[in-house]
Amino acid sequence: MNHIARAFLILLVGTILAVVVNTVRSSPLTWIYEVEGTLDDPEVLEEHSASLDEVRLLYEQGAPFLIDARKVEVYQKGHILGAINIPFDVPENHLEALFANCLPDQPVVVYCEGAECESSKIVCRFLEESGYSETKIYLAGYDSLVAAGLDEIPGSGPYGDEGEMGFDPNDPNDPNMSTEESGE
Amino acid sequence: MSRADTFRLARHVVSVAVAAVFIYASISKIQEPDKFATQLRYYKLFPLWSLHLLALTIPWWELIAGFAVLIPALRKGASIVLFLLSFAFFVSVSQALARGLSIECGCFGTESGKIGWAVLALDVSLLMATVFLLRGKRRGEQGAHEPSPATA
Repeated sequence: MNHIARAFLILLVGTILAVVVNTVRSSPLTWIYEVEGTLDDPEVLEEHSASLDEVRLLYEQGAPFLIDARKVEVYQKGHILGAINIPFDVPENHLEALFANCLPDQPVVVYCEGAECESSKIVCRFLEESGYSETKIYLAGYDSLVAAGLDEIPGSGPYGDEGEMGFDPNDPNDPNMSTEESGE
Repeated sequence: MSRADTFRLARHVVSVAVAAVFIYASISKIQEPDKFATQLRYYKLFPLWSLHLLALTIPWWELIAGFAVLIPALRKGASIVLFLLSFAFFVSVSQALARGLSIECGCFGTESGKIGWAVLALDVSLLMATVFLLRGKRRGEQGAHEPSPATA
């Protein structure tokens, strides 16, 4: 058997193992990603997108409705006042903070870096699966919100609107978890 | 130590290093294929329908080829697979850097950090290592297994 045939044999064994393991997995992944009906479907995305006016209206009501889908370290460098961090890479670790501050029937709007980022779609999908039925995405993203004049918290501490939101989503026992925004 | 021995030792060390990188890289991706699919999506290089297919198969190819490169009879076959994977990673990272994308590498699962010159250097090192493993026996190594007249 020559080396090319051995290479194919290795690929074949790997593929068979991938099929077997995915089949026995508790939640197997579909082999072909179906776009229809997901947020990658332009029609569905359109239905889920929030306008700047919608965001501004909710923002002025002062509810903790704004979800920052960026990674923790990026969120810490600056975020919109009152935004709760549900990072796209480990959203499950931060869900309790959201449950403590925002009921599942309240409208929430997710943002990420900008128009090109995908994180908000991932978090939006996750929130819907977690029971948040009124989830929308602000597609233009963080930079656009800052440019539109929504208050920004630059370089705050860990989970930082300390003195404003002041909770740590990693710590469900944090006494500040359900602290109301003081508006400072 | 003869040149043939030095070459064999170098090949052994490189095989182990390449195997370690690919086996380590495969584990978290096998555990969390959905997250790997998400990281592949950020490269904006692959059609959406193919993301799950790639996320499910690539880590297993890495793992099996990673082990196979340690087996002398399979070394070159595995090196072909690992060379092609390294080349694919190199092209993916290069195009992302050229387009100015600031994205997760996905090289070692969710804790890989962002793409950059260090990732590109790793890809180039892996390409060079697999090319080294694909090379034929050195002249000095030809017949090295045969006993010399003095020891026969």
